[in-house]
Amino acid sequence: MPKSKIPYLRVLIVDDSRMQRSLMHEMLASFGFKHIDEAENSGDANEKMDALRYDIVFLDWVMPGRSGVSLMEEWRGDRRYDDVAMFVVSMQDDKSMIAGAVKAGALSYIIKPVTEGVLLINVEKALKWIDERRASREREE
Amino acid sequence: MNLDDFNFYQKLLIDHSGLSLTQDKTYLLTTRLDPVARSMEFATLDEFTRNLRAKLDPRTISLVVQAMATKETSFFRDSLPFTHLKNNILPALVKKNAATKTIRIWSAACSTGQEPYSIAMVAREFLQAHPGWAVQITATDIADDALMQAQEGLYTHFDIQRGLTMKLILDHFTMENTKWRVQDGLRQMIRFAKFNLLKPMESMGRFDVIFCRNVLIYFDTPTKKLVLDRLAERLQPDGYLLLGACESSIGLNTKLRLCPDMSGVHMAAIPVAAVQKENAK
Repeated sequence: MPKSKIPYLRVLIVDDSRMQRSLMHEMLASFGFKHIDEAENSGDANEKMDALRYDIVFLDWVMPGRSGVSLMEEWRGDRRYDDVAMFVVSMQDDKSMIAGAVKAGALSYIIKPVTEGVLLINVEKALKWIDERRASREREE
Repeated sequence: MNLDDFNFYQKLLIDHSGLSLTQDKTYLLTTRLDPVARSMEFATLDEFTRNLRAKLDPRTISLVVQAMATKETSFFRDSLPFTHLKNNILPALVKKNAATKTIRIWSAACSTGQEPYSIAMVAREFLQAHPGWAVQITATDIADDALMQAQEGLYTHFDIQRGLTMKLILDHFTMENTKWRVQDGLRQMIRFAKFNLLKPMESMGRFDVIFCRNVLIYFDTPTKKLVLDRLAERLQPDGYLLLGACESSIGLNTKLRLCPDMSGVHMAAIPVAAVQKENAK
């Protein structure tokens, strides 16, 4: 998927920290994303996702209430969201936890503090993945 | 940097490493040499250059060469060479090397290790499907600091996320504080050594596959031909040479021919009999 598609993709940042959300928001905007929404907890995220299907979602693992990974597991079980690129963002740098996030359906795992370089690589991964996913779905249909 | 200083570095690099620098790469000189000058406590690059020109200290020259030897690299860079290796080259070698069950691969400009480790990941998958086989990987580079890092196999989150899927990361790396270390099993498949591609290569032995990517672009035409011919001589009959995406032997009249089925892959054009004779010595 060429980067020219970036302005048309919808992104959701789910994190309880406002500073973290605005940091990522700023970086994503600098990559060319025009439609970036934020949610401060899993309930808020679920409502937003239901109302407006996003293309790329960044989920904080540890949040008050329901965790980002638990929410992602539910979304992964929903066919409506099977071409949504989901990422887990966390301070946790334990390999078994990272493996757990990947098993739950994360395309990749981003360790905080999020840097522009790592975020950009993962956006590129997301673009490629979404493209392949949608192409294979078209073949199936 | 003035033209006189540029010419000085251009000659220095050609003489000591074969790196050929065109004037449009002046920015590379300043960006790469500035930190060297600073680390040696010179206030400016000009001062460093004046000092070096007055006294050609071999240690300083070595630092200049190392800083200029490019380090732009990522895991599975350009992906196609690794697809060729996995889907075409290794299956062909299974038939060809059935007697020895050994495959030798040389990563000739391994930089900070991403290329040999990518090769090793492909080889590992191959070995799981082919018990009893051995894949020997030799990784060389001219730059000491890059080679040290390669051997260490320690990468940042940024490094490993470039080119690797989460599955490959989880299969082949362990976490160490905030960095990722290549697992021993993978590292032990590779032998690292310092090697200058301008030196005679006989001591390296022969290989079934050679990766020499994104190095030739820094050489002038005669050097390019010389290196390609020497690499061709290091290939087993019908061995494979993989060059960088923007590199080719076309027009250089080398001892290589293009591999008809795989773009960017070359094969030795030396008569098979000549190689067999040399092997029999």
